[in-house]
Amino acid sequence: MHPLIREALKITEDLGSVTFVGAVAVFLHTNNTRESQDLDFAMAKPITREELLDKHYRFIVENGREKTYTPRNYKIDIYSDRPLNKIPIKTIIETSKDFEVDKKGHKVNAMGLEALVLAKFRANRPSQDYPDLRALAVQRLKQIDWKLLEKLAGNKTEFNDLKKTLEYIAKN
Amino acid sequence: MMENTVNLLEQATSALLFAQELPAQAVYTLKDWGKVTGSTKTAYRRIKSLIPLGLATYTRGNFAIKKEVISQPLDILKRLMPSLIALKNAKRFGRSYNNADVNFVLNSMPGSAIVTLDYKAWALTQFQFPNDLYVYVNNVDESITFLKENDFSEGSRGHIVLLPKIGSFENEIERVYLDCIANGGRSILDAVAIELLYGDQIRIKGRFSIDTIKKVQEDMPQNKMNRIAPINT
Repeated sequence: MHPLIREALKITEDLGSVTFVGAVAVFLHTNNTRESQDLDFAMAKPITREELLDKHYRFIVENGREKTYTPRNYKIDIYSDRPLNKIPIKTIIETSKDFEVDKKGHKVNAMGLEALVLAKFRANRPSQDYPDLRALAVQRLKQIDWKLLEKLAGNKTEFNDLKKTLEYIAKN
Repeated sequence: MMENTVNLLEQATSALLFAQELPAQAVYTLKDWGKVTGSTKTAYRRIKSLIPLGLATYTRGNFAIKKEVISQPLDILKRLMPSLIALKNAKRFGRSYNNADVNFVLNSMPGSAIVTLDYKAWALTQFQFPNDLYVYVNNVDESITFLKENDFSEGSRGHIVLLPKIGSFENEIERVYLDCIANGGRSILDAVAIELLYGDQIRIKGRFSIDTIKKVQEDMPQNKMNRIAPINT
C-alpha cells in the first residue's frame, strides 16, 4: 500500500469520519503518486485541540506558523469550519466517496470527482492544480457527472470554462 | 545542435513575451487572447513557435502553456534549452504499468544511464512521491530495442521515460534542478525543494512565485527542515 494511503487509513482509524481532499483524493481517483507528504481532510464535526493531543497528534510552530502532525509524523490540515475553494464542507462530505484500499476491505473516504475537479480548477495554481486537473481529466473524464458538476459550480460560465478545460487537457 | 536550440529560443522570444503577459489559466481560447497581440493570427503564430520547445499545446482554437516555465527570465530559459529539447524528444514505455516496470529498469539500466526528475528529486528531497522513472541514456534507439525485447510497449501511460543525453551533466544536482524547471507542473515544486536544500550547489537559480515557495517550505518533511536555505522569488 502506498505510504500516503496507509497514513490516510491510520488517520481514519484515529479520528473516525474524515473525508480526504487534496493529495489523497487525487491519488485515490487517479493512482497518480506525484503528491507531497501532507494530508488534508474535512470533518463534519470540528475536533478539538485536546482531542487531537489525546490521540498523540502534535502541534509544532515552524517559521512562525503552527502546524499539526500525526503520531507518524505526517503534516495534516483539517477543514471543518471553512469552505474549501468556496465549496462548503457539508457539500464535500455529502458528495464524497468510499474507496476500498486493500483486499481486507479497509476503506478511505475522499472527496467526489466532481467536487475535486471544481476545487482544483478554482485553486488555479500552475505547479499543483494544473497537473492534478490533467491527471483527473486524462483518467476520469468519462466518469464525470456533468449535471452534478454544474450544480456544484452554481454558475454556467464557470461550468462551461471548466468543461472546456477538462476536455482540452484530456486530449493534449 | 545547441546552436539550433538557441535559434529556436530566439525565434520564440516574442511568443515568450506574449505568453508571460497571460494570466494563470489552465487553458486559453485564442479568440479571447488574440487582442493581447493585436490579432488572432499573430497570437496563433506565437503559440505555434512555443510548440517545438514543449512549452505550449494547441488544438482547434484553444491552447495551454507551461506558465511557470515560460515565466522564467530569458537567461534562465537559455540554460533550460538542453532539458527542454530532451523532454520534447522523450519516449515513454510501459509493461505492467506499475512499480515493477520501474524496478526492472533500475536493476537493468547501464552504468552510464542517469536518473532525473521524479526519482532523483525524491532521492534528494523526499518532498514529493515519484511517479515516472526518467532516464538519460547514451543511445535511445538501443535502449528502446532493449525495452521492446523485454515486452515493454511505447505509449503515453508508461512510467519509464527515456531521454537523449543533451547538454552538460557535470553538475548532476544542477542538471536535475534545471530538468525540474523545464518539465514544469509538479516538478517545479521539486525544483524549489532542491534549491532550498542544495542551493549552495546550484549556480543558475530559477524564479518562482512566493506561493510556490511557501507551499514547499510548509510541506517539506520535518527531517529536512534544518537544511533549508533562502531562495529567490
